Amino acid sequence: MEKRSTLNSFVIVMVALVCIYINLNTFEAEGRTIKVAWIADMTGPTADSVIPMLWGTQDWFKYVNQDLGGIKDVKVDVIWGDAAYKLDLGLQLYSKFSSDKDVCLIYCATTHINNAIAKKCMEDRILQYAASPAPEAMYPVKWCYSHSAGYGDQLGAFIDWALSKWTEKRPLRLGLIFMDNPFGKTIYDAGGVNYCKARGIEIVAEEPLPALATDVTVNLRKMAKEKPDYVYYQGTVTQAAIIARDAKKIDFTPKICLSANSVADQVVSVAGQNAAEGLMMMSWSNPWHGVVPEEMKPGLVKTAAFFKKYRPGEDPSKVGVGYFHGLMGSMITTKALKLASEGVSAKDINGSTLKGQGFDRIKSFQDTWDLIGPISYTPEDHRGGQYLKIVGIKKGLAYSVTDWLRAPYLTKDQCLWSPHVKSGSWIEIVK
Amino acid sequence: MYLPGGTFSETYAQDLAIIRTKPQWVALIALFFLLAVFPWVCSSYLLSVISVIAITIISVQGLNILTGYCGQISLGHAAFMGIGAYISAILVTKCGISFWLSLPCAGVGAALIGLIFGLPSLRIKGLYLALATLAAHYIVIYIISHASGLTGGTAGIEAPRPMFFGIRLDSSRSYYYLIIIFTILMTFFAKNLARTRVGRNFVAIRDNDISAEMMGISLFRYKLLAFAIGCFYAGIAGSLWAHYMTVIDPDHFQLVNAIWYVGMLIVGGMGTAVGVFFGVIFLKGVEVVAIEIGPKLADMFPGLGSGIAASLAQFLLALIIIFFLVYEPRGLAYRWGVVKAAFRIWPFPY
Repeated sequence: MEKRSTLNSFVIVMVALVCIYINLNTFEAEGRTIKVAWIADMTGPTADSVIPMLWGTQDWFKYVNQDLGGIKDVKVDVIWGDAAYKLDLGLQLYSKFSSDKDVCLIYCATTHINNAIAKKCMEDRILQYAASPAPEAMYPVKWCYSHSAGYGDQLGAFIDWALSKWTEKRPLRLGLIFMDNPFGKTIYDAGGVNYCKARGIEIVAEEPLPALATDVTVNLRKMAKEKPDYVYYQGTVTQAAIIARDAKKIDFTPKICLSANSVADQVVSVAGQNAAEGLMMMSWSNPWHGVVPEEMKPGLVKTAAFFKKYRPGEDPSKVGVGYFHGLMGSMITTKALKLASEGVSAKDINGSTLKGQGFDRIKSFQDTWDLIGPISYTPEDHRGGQYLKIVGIKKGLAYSVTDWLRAPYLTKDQCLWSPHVKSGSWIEIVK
Repeated sequence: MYLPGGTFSETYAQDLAIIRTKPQWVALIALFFLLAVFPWVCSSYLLSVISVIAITIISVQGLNILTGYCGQISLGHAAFMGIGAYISAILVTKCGISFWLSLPCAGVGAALIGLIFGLPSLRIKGLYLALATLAAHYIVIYIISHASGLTGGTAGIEAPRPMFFGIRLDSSRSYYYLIIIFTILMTFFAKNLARTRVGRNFVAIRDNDISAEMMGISLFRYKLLAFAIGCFYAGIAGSLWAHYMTVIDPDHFQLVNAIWYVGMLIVGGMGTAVGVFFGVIFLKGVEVVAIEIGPKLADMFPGLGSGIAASLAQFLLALIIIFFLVYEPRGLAYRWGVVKAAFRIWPFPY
């Protein structure tokens, strides 16, 4: 009898404790947790770039949730799935995420997946954030936002800068090298090459490279015969390093500019300091690693400390621009959330309100820890502001060749904005 | 075919029947009912997974005919799917032809091109034929990527959802029914093909092509026929895929897909129509499960790293294929047959 009464008392106490625990949690959970989802290439050819992007997002929202207490009763949960650079897996993940009513925004850094889900995101009223600008996702305007000027726009910005330095009477001779896949051909699909022609550039050589090419000497020899003044490369940092190395090997030394997927310290470490000397690259952000001391602005020092706090076991030198993308996208999303929360209650935050009350109201947003130029969105333009820098490499360290440049706004068949080309129609301009 | 105890074939029709007993009929009808009801009860994510599995089953059935029945290894199956996909997309968008006509054209087009790439099979076999079909993959994808005037190149081409008596099948549910109907039909044809003279000739060539030739089977005709039929299936699957995705580009038809199709055949059991179902559902299921648990593993074991947790799927799939090659080379279909036979004589051991 005594044992049974003791047991009964124990059970009653345990049940009471459980009820109190549940009640406490219920009281605490008055706010709302929305979800942002990453369709991330955690494996595959772009894993090295994308994994740090996910880190950036996870770390930023951990900071927002824990250190800042969320944004007006709204906390953000980051979920992710591995698309392995495969389109069918990416679409599968999209189906999974889009069926969750708390998912307001989907991040993705893969060009072909971004292109494929752009229309679906618009129909399902889920925001899309492209760390890597995908032409089909950005124009015609859908529900996709980015902070990065498109690859065609980057080529346009580079040409604008090169022509500003050009003093000779003959046309500037340009050689193009690109990966033979949708990512590499974005310079064509996104209007960059048309813009070059519109500005009177003579494109003397075009060399597509297989994605996994390990030697490009033959391609560079062919290009060398045409004597380009500049060579522009659209592709990955690994292949860029191969190009730099092979160019040095055959003494082919035009000014080579890489598109903004390349990171100075990665190029230097893969190609070698000698081969990387004199290379230029477009950059969406202020460079962080492998830079001359003058480049480390206060905001970047803060970013480095932030990284050390949340990723103590990771080597910052291996992270590259990916972590920046993750941070930048998350900072901009947080700003949009703050704006949306001004007019909308926590339970009404969804893709539509985050877009209309949040993203579309962002104007000249500069609180990004010196990472990027000012960000502005309009209902007609979700590219973010089109600010780019050209970064050069000297003695193994990166430095800013230019301050922030404003890239032209290009599509395959139109020039929507350029400081130089007034007409929007290629038909009148392209010879 | 092993029949349950007490089941006797008293007519040729009974002997030839695929579904032989009442319980088998009940199971089949129940399966059809489940397939019909499934889209109304499941999430859109599961529906998309099942749709992809069904299209993959069609493609792998074709590979089963080519590799499982006829013994001709092909690593170009993804490219043949691409041919079917692009033929269908081009006919619909550029020529204004109805989907219901472009679908068989896609199959026939892929079959004709498969015939051309099947010609090396008359001289080479095994690893050498595999390499020849690998070359076929690269040739096809290169042409698709560079014929941008016709195919849209790497930017891709649209493939709108089909119309059915004035109703556009643009919802996941409606297109799911279309895919399932074709999966059932193509599986039925593949199963019956194995029971015909053509199917038996394929098997004879697979088992010993020299003996088959000595018996009077024309290697030239039947090897090419195997390629044509296998690629026809791939073309149909490609067409269904294109209109499911609504936009296709060469990245949809990667070499790694063709390799995984062979893996699905190994796991499921080569040379059986039901083995294709086992292989595709099993491997795709493992992939889905790995996608689910990868992030959870990364959260539970932060030191593991998200990349390692995410690559769990690749690791598991590769491990499974190696396991089956070593311990069960006849695949899940054989194991299923053993389990069925054991239940039929249960509780007796033999």
